[in-house]
This record gives sequence, structure tokens and C-alpha cells, in this order.
Amino acid sequence: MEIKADGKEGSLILLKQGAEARVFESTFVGRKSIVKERFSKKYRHPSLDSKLTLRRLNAEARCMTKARRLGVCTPVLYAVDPVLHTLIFEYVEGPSVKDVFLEFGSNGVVEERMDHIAVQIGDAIGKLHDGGLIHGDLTTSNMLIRDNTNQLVLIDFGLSFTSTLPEDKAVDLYVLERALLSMHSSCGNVMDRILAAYRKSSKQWSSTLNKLAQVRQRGRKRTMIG
Amino acid sequence: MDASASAISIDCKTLPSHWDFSCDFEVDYESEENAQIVYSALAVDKELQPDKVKRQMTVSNGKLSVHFEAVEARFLRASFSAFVDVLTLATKTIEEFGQGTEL
Amino acid sequence: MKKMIALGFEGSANKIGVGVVTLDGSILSNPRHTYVTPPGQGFLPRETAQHHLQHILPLIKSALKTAQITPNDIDCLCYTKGPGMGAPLQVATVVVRVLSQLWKKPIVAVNHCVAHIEMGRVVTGADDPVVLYVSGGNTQVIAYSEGRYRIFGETIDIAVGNCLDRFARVLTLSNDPNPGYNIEQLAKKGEKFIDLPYVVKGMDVSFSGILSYLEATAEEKLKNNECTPADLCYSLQETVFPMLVEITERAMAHCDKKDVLIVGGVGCNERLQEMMRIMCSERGGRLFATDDRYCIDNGAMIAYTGLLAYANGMSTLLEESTFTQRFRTDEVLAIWREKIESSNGLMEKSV
Repeated sequence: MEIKADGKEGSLILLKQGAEARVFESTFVGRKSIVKERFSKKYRHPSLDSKLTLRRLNAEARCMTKARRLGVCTPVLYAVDPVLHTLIFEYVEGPSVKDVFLEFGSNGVVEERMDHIAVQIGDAIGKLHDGGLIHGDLTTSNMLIRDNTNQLVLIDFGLSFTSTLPEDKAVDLYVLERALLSMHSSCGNVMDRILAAYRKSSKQWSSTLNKLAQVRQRGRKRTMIG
Repeated sequence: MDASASAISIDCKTLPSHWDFSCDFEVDYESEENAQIVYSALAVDKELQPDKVKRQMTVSNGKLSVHFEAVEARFLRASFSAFVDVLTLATKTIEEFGQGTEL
Repeated sequence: MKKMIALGFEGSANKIGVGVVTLDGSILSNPRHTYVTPPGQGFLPRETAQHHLQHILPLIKSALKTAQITPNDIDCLCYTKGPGMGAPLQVATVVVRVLSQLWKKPIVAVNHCVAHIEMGRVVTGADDPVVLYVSGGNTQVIAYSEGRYRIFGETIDIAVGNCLDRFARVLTLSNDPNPGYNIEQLAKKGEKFIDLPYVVKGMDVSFSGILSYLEATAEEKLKNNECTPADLCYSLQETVFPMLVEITERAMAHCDKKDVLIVGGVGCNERLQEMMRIMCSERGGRLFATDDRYCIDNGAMIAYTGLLAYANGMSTLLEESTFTQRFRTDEVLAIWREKIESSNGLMEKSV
């Protein structure tokens, strides 16, 4: 996959410099697309760095596809380049859930829209978990709302992995809960709405939510000395 | 004011009730104010296992009186010993930083 | 106008410290004493409290003397309410309650973690950074948002400092001045990188898997000459520190902040600072770090943070001056920051 061979396809516009990847806007066979290039982190030992970069590139490609198969909306994957550490996938038009919630935080919550989003989040995570997929980085930055349809799209599967353990699912939810608390505390209790939808969506909700209660306890019980 | 052993009288006895083990002691500060300061400083911290150890404190005539009751001797020993440590600390703090002491 | 002065007491772990500061962050004195245990041993609550009992009163005298102040000059007495070990916390708390009555001075209860952050901010001049707080009991990525210091990422099991300390016990390294320092020195001689579990979950990390892996295999690896103790120290640092840098960077990306402040005992580690500096410069941000005078627990940080709260009208009644082993960073309303933010806002509007 040579993205720079064709002059028309070669134009890359930097959209975002993330923690581990640069995200560009480009075109792929005439379609507006995202090019996500993982770069090496200079602070890491070279062997750790190449191991992590490759592991996450593969995880992202594999899990993004698997999530789609499980009925969760993700961008369509167009191409993978393990040499340039690059993924090319569909460009999704629409804001991140983070931006929507921050807007709610400053201008008041639009209940109907909030509910619609929360239900979709709970539903999507339930489907992933029942299919044995853990997202690994559930924050509101990694969820998009597609323009026009208002459909939830999950992105950034670099930390995803397969597991059927209640512990892994619970930690996945715990990460999201904490992300909501730290960033969107003025939006009210979004997590409860998400968990209500999760319950309906996941057949194994009971063991996961029991475990979630334990994971929360661990966080609170830690004495944090020094 | 003196927190040395001579000023502390300890009286341990076995009670017939569930609270079988008890212990009383008294520190004579020869100052109502100082006794009250130590009382107020130590009264904030409650016993950690109120179902196993009870502590009562009173101040009168410049003396701080403390009464412990416990369901087992080991709980009594642990609470008593921890309490004496902080009581001694509070007393020394008054001795070193109270009125009339040069810094 | 006379400068406000606070006397602060810290004794939540194995250090007992008394500090005198003014509201602008000047440290007039900051003596402390550390309870050092023999190699292979950690510190226990009871023994640590005994250590504090022996040293606290001389430390107060020395703090007042160095600062050249008398009790009359003090505006408030600040102490660590938590988190920390119960018995050691109680020592400073009891002394503060007595002094408050003797000297007729108000008490201010302080959150230990928030104190690390405020000390770091005033010493380095970092205004609104993402904070990595790393010590023997804490591993948190924190940023200020909506009135509180919010925890964006943290360890889901043991703290990074605890992981390092316990690994030092496996190698029976000295605890003097602290186990982490000795790991850092030994790591400089390490050459071989040994693959260890690398566990990042979103903005959270986990260290217990690394520790149990090392506890289970280190002895064997050393016996078979697969590697040296230095290699193990090196590999441990080269694994756990990138995990910390990674979650810090994720938090920066998530909340759009440019700068990083590292606080807490592990924050003295120069290799961790070096890695963090590389990451920050790649993002066009700055790293703010402090040396062992400030990042290791001390009384001045408690005094300064308590004074910020006191200057904004907060104090603690004697009857409510409790201590607690568990006290989360985000339970504290950082009202001093709100005032600053809103006054900045007003200034901007009036310009």
C-alpha cells in the first residue's frame, strides 16, 4: 500500500497530533479518508517502542474490524501498512462525544440528545463485551457522533484486546466512569444511563457489574500512603 | 505537671459483665487549663473498635481521668498503650511550648 | 502589611517534617527527619509513629528558630489530614491540636496529595499543568477542572513507588536514603533490557503484574547469570516510567494542556524526568519538576497549602480536626484556584 505514489492521493493534512499517532486527512481511491500514523516515542527503549507500536497497530486493525462484525459502528478500515505503521480508514464527519458533553457542561444538557448518546454508548460496549472484545481506552475523546444520523462511532482501538473475563470488562467500564467524572462532572450522572443501556445490551451484565463494584472499592480502599 | 509514672495511678480489674477488662488512670496536671487542653486534643480521636474497647475521659481539679473497658485483655493493652503514647506527646508539647517556656 | 505565615506538619508516611512558609510561597524553614528501615524491610505504622514521636518536638523548635519567628507571628497551624498511615498521622495531628489551644491559633486540615501539587506549582511556577503524582503510596495523573483536582488516570493496584520499594527488597538494596534512589543508581550500570509486562488501560496503569513477575523470576534469572541486578533495575525503570509518561501524555491530549508537573518522591528520579522532558518537548510543552527538597514529603508543602485555604476563609474546628487513611485528591474543593481563575477572568474582561 503506497499512499504517496499517486499525486492526488498524496496530500496529507495534519488534523491532530495525538499521544502516539499523527492523524491526517487524505483521500483513498477518491474517498475522503483518515490516515493514522503511529510514530516512535523517543523516550521509550527502542525494543519496547517497536514492540508496542506494532502490537497496537495490529490490535487497532484487528479489533476495529472485529467490533464492526459485532454490530458496533467503527470507521471502515481501508488499508494497513505495518512498515510505515499506518492505518487508513473512513473519515467520519461529526463531533466527538467529548465536545458534545463539554457543550452540555457550559450551555446546559439537552436531555433527549444526552439520552440518545448514553444509550448508544451502553449498547455498543455491551455488544463489544459479549463478543469478547475489550476497548481498553473508553474516553469521550474516542467516541464520535456522526452528523445527520447521530450514530455513535467508536474509534481508537490501539489498546483493545480480546478477553471474556469479567475483571477486564469491569476495568473497561471503570476507565470510562472515571473519564466521565474527571471531564464531565457537570453533565450529571451519565454513567448510570450508560450502565442501564449496558444491562439491556449485555447478556453477561450481572457478573460484569458485580466486578465493577469490586474494582471501584479497590480504588476507594487504597490507602495511598506517602 | 508531671506525666511520670508516679503521677499516674493505674487500677485494673475484672468486671462480671461482657466488658470484662477495665483500666483506670489519672494524670495530675495541677492545672485545670492544661488538663482541659490535653482532654480536648485527645477526645477528637474515637476508639477504632467501639464494640471491643470503650474509653471515657473526664477532667476535674486539674486532673485528667481516663477509664478503659474492653472485651479482651489484648484489646485493652493495645488501646491503652497507643493512648499513653499520644497522651505523653500532648503533655510534652505543653511542657515545651506552653506558657512560661522559653523557645 | 504583615505577610501571612503558616506552620505546617507532615507525618503521613516515614518522614516527619515541620515547615514555615509565607503566602507567596517563600519557605522560611523546612526541617524533616526520615525513618530509615534496614535493607529488605518496609516501614510499619507503629514503629513509624514511634519515630515521629521522638522527633516532632525538636523539629518544631528547629523550624521556628531557623525561620526566626515566634508563635505570635503564626497565622495558622496546618497538618496532614490524610491520606496516609493512621498512627503516624495521629502524631502531628495531636501536636497541632495542643499547640492550637496553647497559642490560640486556628487549625487547617490539608490533603497530602493536593499539598504536593500546590508546592510543585509555587516552586516551579507551573500555572495549569497536568500533574503526575508518583510516590510510595500514590500514582495519579491529575488536572484541575471545575473547582477540583480531578484524577484522570491512576494505578488500578499498587503505587509505582511501592513497586520500586518492594523490588528493592527482592534485591535487598539499602533503604538509605530511599530504595528508589538506590534502584536509580544501580540502573545506570544496567545494559540488558529484559522484557517485562507493560500494562496500560486507558489512562490507568497496573504494576502488580510486573512486581509479581519479578518476585517470581528475579532470583532464578540472577542465579543462571541471565542478567545482573543492575540489568533488572534498568529494565524495571525502562518499563514502568514509559507507562507513566504514556498515561500523562494521554491525559494531556484528553484535556488539552501543554505542561507537565511531576511531584511526589518518585518524581525526584532523573530518568523519569528525562523521559517526561522528551515527551513534553515533542508536544511543544514544558516539564516542571522539583528536586528532593520539595518532592519528598515535607512540612512546608502542608503549611503552604493550608495557608492558601486559610487566606480564602477556610479553617478546621478543633473538634473536627480528624485524620484519615483514605482521603481522595478530588474530595477537596480547591477554592483558592477558583478565586484566581475568576479574578483572571475579570481582569481579561476589564482590559
